[in-house]
Amino acid sequence: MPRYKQTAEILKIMNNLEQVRNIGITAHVDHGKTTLSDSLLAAAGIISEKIAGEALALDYLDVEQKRGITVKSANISLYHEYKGKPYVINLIDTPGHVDFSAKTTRAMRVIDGAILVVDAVEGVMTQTEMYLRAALEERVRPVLFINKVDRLIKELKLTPQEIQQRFVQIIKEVNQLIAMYADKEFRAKWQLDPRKGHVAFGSARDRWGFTVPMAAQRGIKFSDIVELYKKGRDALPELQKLAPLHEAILDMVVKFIPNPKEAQKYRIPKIWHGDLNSEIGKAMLEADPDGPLVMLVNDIRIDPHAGLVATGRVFSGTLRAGEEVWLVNARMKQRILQVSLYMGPYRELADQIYAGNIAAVLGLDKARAGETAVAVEYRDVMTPFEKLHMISEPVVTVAIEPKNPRDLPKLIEALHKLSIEDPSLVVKINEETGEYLLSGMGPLHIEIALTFLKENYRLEVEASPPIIVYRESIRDKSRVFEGKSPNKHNKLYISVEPLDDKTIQLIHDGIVTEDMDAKQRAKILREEAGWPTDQARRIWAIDENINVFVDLTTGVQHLREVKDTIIQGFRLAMAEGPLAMEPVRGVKVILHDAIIHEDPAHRGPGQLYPAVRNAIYAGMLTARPTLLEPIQKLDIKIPIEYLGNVSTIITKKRGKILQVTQQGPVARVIAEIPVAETFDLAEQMRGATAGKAIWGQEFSRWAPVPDSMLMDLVRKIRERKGLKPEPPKPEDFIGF
Amino acid sequence: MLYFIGLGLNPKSLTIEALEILRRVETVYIDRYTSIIPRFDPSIIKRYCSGCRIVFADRNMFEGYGVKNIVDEASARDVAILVPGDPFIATTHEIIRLEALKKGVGVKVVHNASIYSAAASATGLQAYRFGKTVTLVYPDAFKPYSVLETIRGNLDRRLHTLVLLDIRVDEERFMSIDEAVEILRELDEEDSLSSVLGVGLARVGSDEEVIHADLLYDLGRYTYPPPPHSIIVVADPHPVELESLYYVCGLPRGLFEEFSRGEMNLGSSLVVS
Repeated sequence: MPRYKQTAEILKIMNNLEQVRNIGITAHVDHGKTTLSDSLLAAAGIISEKIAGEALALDYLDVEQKRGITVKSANISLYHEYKGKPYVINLIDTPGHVDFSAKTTRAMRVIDGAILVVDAVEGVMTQTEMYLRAALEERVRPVLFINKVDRLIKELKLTPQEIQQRFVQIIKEVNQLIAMYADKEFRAKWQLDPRKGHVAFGSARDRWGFTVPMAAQRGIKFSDIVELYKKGRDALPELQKLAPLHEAILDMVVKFIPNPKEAQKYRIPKIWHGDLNSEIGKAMLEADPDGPLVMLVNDIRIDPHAGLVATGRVFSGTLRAGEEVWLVNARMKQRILQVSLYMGPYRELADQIYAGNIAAVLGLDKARAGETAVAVEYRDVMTPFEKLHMISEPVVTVAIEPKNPRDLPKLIEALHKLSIEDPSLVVKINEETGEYLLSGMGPLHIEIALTFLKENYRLEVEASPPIIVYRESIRDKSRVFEGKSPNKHNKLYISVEPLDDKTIQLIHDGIVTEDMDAKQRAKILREEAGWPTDQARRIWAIDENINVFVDLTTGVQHLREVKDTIIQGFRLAMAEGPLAMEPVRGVKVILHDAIIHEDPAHRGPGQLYPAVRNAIYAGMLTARPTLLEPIQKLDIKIPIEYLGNVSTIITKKRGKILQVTQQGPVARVIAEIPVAETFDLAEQMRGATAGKAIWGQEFSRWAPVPDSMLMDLVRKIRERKGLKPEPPKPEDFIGF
Repeated sequence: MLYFIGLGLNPKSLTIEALEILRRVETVYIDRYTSIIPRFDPSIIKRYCSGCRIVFADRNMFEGYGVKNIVDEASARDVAILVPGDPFIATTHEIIRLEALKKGVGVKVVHNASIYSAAASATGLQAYRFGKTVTLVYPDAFKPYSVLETIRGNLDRRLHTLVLLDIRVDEERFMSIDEAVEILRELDEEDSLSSVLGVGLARVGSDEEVIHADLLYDLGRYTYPPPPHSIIVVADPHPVELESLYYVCGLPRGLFEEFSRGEMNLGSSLVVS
C-alpha cells in the first residue's frame, strides 16, 4: 500500500537526519534489482496528496510499473515505520551495468548503504562482485537479500536443509569479498551475520521475505514456506502476509544502514579529497545544515516538461530556490530555479532541503553528472568530489534509423537527451550516409539504450548489426616529419611514439587529466610513468581517446596564437586515424619545431589542421601501425563435465583461459575473448553445455589484433566506410 | 608559359598588356577566394580571350595537389591566373610560381594596383610611413591578439597600419568596417586605441569608393557600400598628412583642430616619457 503523505510531513522527517537513509540496490543482471525496487515502491512508496488527488493515482503504480518506472526515476523515496518511528528512505538509482566507470562510483558516493541482491540459484556472479567492490571502495555498507528462493523450492526442489546450505555458501562468498575489498576498519565490522538480521531471504517477484530475527519473532519456519508453495499460487497472499518483503528489507535498512550524519563522519574522508580541517570539510563531516552549501550531482535527466533535472546529495548547508551556486567543473555560476524532494518517484517542490538529503534541482542546466555545486563564496577553495574527465571508450556501434522516417526529428532529440543523461553513449552522424551512429561500452550497453528509446520515447528504430569499434595505435617511435599546410607557408615538425601502459592507465583512471594543474601533472608523470621533465611539463592536450600532445618547441613566432588551432587539429587527427579512420589510442604526438605564416589570414584552421594531420599520419604509418581490438573478460559457471567443451569454444574464438576453479560440481572459468568473436557466443555456449552455462561478460582491455589478420581487417573496415581498400602510404602525407 | 595577371581594384582596371596576353592563352583561372572585385563581370574576360577555357578557382585548385595540376598544364600550353589586386601581395600564389620555376615552366607577371599602394594614394598618408600590414580575421578559431600587437608595434615606431579585413568567399562572410571596429575593441582589453585616428576604406579604386577618417573606434558610425573594406590605423600624423585626412578623407573639423595643436599627442607622449 502506498502511503499518502503531505510534502510538509515528509520534509519534517527529512529535517531530522536520524530518520533518513540513503541507499541503493545493486545486483548482477537479472538477479532482481528492478523487481525488488518495484515491490518496495508498491508497498512503501509515498504519494503526495496532490498526485493522489488526480484520479489516476489509485492505479498509477501498476501503470508506471509496467513501463518500468525504476529505470526512469533518479530517486524513489520510501516511507517506513520502525518501532513506531517514521523514516524516509531514499532509493537512488544505480547503473544497471557496473563497469567501474565514473557513473558507478558517482552513484555510490551519494548512498550510505546498499542492498546487494543475489539470485539464490546463480549465486555470486561477476557483477555482484564488481558492485560490492565499488560500494566498499566508497565506504557504502552492504546488506544482503538472497532472492528467488521460490526457484530453489519449485524448480530445483531442494530440501530445506539443502536450501540452507546454499544460503550459507552465498553468505560466505559475500563475506569473503567484504573481507577482501572493505577498508581495514570495516572488514570485520561489516561482515554479514544472518542471526543478527543482516541478510534477508525471499522472492521479490512473489513479494515475501524475512530475516532470521523476523522469522523468530513471527514464528516463521522455512518448512511452512515450502508447504505454502506446494499449495500453488493461491497461497501467495498468505505468504505475503506472513512475511511481507518490504518489512524485511526496510527494517534491515533502518537498523543497519547508518543515517547520513553518522555516515558522513567516516565517508567524507574517503570520498572527498579536500582539506578536512577547512570550513567546508568540517561542515561536511557534520552534515551541518548551517555550513556552506555543497551538493554532489550524481544524475542528470531530461524531463520533457521541466527540462534538465539535476539530482544529487546535499553534503553540507541548505539548498534554497533562487540562490546562486558555483559549478566547480563547469566553472560558472548558475541560479537554482526550483528545489524539490522526491515523493515516491515524483518530484515535489520544497523551499529548502537540508544537508544529508537527496534533492532534485532545476536551473543548473550546465551541470553534468558528477558536478559539484558549492556556495558561490567558496568557489575558489572548493575541491570537487570528482574532476570531470571524459574518457569514454565506446567499443560497439550500431547505425540506427526510425522505422517511420517522420520520426527522425524525434529520434534526434531522443539521442541528444540520451547522450546527456549517459555521457558514455556517443552519438555521431555519418556525414556521407546520413546515418545516426550510436556507440557504447558493449553490446549490452547498446541493447539497453535501444530498449530505452523504445520504452521511454516510444520510438521504433531499425538498428544495424553491431559493429566493433577498433582503435588505431603504433608500436614504434617515428622520425620527425614535416607537415605542410596546403599553402605551404606553415610547417610543423612532428614525431609520434606509443604512450607507455602506465601513462595510459593514469589517464584512463582520471589521475592525469588535461585540465589539472600542470605542475602537479608533470610531477605524477615524472614519478609514476618516468616521463622526461621537459616533456612532462609541456603537455598541450590530452584527448578523450588517450593521446597526448607535447610541445617541445622554443621561440617559435606566432605559435601562441595558433596553439588552439593546432590542438584542435590534433584532436581531429586522433578521432580518425590513417589506417582505417578508426579512433587513435595511446599515441604521444611531439611538436619539435614550427614555421608559422606572418599574417593571421594565412594560418587559420584550413591551413593548420591539414599540417598537423599530415605530419601525424605520416609518422603513424611509419611506426608499425596496428589496430587494437576490444577484449572481453568472461566469468563462466558450468557443471564440471562441460569444461572441455567450453575451453574448446574459447580457444576457437581466439580466447584465452585465465583461471579455472572448482566449487563442488561447478567449474568457474575466467577467460578473455575478443569482442569480435562474441556475437554468437551465447548460441555456441548453449549448444556445448546443454544450456547449463551461466556467465557474465565485461570489457577488459584493448589488445593489438594478430598481425596475420591486420591488413585484411583494415581493408574490410575501409570498404565498409566506402574508402578505397588500401590504406594510404606515408608519402601521401608528405608530398604536397 | 604561366602568366600571373593582376586584376586591379575594379572591373575596368585590367591593363592593355593583360588584355594582349588574354588573347593568346588557352586557359584562364580566375581566383575567386583571396579577394573580391566589386561588380566584377567574367564576361569581360570572355570577350578578350574568345575560345579559351575559363575556370573559377577555389582554394583547392591553387593549393596542395592543385598546384601540380596547374603547373603541368602550363608546361604544355599558355595558362593565365587572374588575381584581384597585384598577384603576389597575398603570398598565397607564391607556391605556384615556385613550383613552375622548379619544373622549368616560364613565368610572367603582369602587375596592377593593389590595396597596398591604394591605401596611400587614396588617403594621402605617406607610403614611407606604413608599418607591417595585418589581416583582422574573425575571432572564431582563435582570438587574433597578434593583430593588436602588430598595430601597437607599428604605433610605437610611429608607423601606420593597413588592416585588411577577413574575406571568406566559401562562407560568404566579408568583414565590414563596423564589425572590424567591434572586434578590435573586444581585443583591446586595455582600451589603448581609443584616442587613435583611423581611416575606413570601402571599395577603394571603384566608382563606389567611400573613405572616412575619424577616431578609430568611431569609424563604424559611417555608412559604407558593401565590402571589400579595410582600415588604416593612423600613427601620429605629419602636418601634411593631417591636412590630407581633413581635405581628402573627411576628418571631422574638431579632431583636425585638436590634432593640429598636437594636444592629444603631446599629452600622451608626455605621459609615456
